[in-house]
Amino acid sequence: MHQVQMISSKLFGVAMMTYIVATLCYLAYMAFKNKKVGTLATIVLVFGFLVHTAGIAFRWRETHLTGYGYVPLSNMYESLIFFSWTMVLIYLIFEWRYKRKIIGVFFIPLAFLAIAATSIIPGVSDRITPLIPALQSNWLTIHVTTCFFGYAAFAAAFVVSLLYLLQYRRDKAGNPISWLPEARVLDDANYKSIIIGFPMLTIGIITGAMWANYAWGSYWSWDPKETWSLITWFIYAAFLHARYTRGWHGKKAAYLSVLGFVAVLFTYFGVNYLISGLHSYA
Amino acid sequence: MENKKTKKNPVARFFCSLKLTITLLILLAVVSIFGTVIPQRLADSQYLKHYSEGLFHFLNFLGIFDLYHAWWFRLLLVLLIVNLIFCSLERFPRAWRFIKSPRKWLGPDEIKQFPMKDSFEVSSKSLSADKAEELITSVLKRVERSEKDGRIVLFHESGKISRLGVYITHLSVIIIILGALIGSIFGFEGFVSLLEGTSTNVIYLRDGLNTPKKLDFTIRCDNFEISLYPNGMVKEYTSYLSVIKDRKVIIDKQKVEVNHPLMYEGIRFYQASYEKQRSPLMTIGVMVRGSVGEKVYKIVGGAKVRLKDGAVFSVVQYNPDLQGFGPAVQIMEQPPKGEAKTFWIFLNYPKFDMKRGGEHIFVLKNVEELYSTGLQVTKDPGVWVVWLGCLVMVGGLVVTFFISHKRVWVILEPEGKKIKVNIVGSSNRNLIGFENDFKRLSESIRAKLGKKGPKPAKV
Repeated sequence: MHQVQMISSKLFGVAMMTYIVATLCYLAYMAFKNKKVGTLATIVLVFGFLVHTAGIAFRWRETHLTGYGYVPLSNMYESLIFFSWTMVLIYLIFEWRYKRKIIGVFFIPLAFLAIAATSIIPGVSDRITPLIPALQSNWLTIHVTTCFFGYAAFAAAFVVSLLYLLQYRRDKAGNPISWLPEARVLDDANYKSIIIGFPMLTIGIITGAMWANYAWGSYWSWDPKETWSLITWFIYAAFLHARYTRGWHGKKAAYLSVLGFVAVLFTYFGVNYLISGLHSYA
Repeated sequence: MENKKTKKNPVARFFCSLKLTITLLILLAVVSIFGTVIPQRLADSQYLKHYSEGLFHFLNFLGIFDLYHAWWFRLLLVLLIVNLIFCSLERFPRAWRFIKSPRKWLGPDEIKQFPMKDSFEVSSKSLSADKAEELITSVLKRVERSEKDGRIVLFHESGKISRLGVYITHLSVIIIILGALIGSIFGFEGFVSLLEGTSTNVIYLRDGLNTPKKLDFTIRCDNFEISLYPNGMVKEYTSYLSVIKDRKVIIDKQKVEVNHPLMYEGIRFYQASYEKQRSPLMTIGVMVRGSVGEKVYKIVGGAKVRLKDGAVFSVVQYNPDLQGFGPAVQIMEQPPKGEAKTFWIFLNYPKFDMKRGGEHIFVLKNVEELYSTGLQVTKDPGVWVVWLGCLVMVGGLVVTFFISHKRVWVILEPEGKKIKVNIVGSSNRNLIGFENDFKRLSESIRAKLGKKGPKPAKV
């Protein structure tokens, strides 16, 4: 087997550095409120995103060059890369829709962390290894894609919730933070992120169940990963009902959103590293 | 939106509460965690390694070791379903009213209930009421008109199905649970292990007791293969399975791999595991010294073969690589008279046994590893109900979250030389988004009516 040159990892490196620069630009925008700086921040971020996208395309090609040929979503390295990518994409959509750049200061570091984690977490390697039989399925692509778009939307909700809690406290004291959106806008953004994340997670769980039914002969077997995704689903379902309940608005809902993201992180990392199960490969 | 507290019996009030829903969802989330931390459904002996006997019996009594099937876990699920049904039944009639009888008319006092509104006046000299109505209709497109005592109400609405989204979603949960119930009542989950070349019509249920279950047909494993990647990792496990019914081969040597099960009469066979047999299948040729032609035997380790002249031979052992000379088999030959002899023959050196000078010459022609394939066997007639429920759920969520019931009323009240125009808007969700839509709408109505007055009132 000949050695395949990994252009993708170099591109991911460039994207990662670009995200740091983008974060700094957003910080500068926050500090100086200069519109040009804000535009620059967006341009830098879009550039990083394009490089990131190209990296994924190259990675895909490299799997074929290695002779194994699969959609690059099949191990921790590839999923972190993809997670980071979905977060940037979701953020860019948010920025475009809401015309607010402040969230970027807090959100882009998360995307950076995800891509940086590929070199921080021990045992995560960029080597292309062939797929074990259970992963050789078209369900993999749709299952992983929907799950990670859900995760990314929940990450956005998490950041917005933290900002909401901050703003809420200052608002109560009659001294709202001027550079943050109003509490009710943050609350609304939290809700909007979750109503994107929740159906995505739901589809992710359903496609996972369909796949499991094909690969293992049962659509639900209370495997830890399945169970944790259901736990996450329960928490966000509680969040959605909380919004229609007196006394569960705002602050409590924001706490639920934060809790939900903790469950997301556990579903993603905790289950892989702390609990053994059928999903131990990714 | 909590309904007005009406006089209801306390049980109904308890189950109609959204606080109960939230509590149950969080409770389910919390107890589910235990099941992922404590290994489930292991053999008792495994638990006794970690827990004292007393603690084991206590936890076992509580169902901690099979938590998701414990009565109290199911009780939580049942409570959630009851809660869901009560909530839905209580609130559904209100939602249905929006669909069945839209509120086309708004009285002068009713306008006050709505926070989103805009009002202005136009002079009736420059604009007749009919003309105004026509212009407004051109902005709103579809309108329903009602008139009483000269007061005209133009009503426009969109996305009223949004009112039903929640109920569609709740219904889907019930459909899914129903599908799961059908599966657990009418389906089964079992396994069977088949040696290559053998067949069976009995499988074993995964019920903790391995109860045998007879099938209406016979399943045969014709072959099992493992293919590897160049780096030695497993690429694929493949069983070739046949289904035989009433002595007829119905499915012939179908390839069954992970992710590609075989299905027959609603029963699915999944490639789940495999086991290498202790002894491979060996092909051994035997010649009588001085004569032509050989006889070929296919045997496994331990089997004895009687030759024509009364001599008996058997395979003592198999070595995949004897001292670097490759696969080798140790043969024991017992001639009719005299002592038994033990010697080795090699796959790579077919003429090796000639030099031994025995009466029979043994040639190892082939060695084939024997496998048995492990198949997961399931029948789940409820699975399509579950998928239907899933489909309904996704549809319900989309309707719930991404469609909003938007209503706009434009009220025209001719008062002497003026026409009073009131624009009222309401949306059941996405209020911030609707606020902008409403502002734009009332501005374009103002523009149409030639009114460039003050900006519409902000909410």
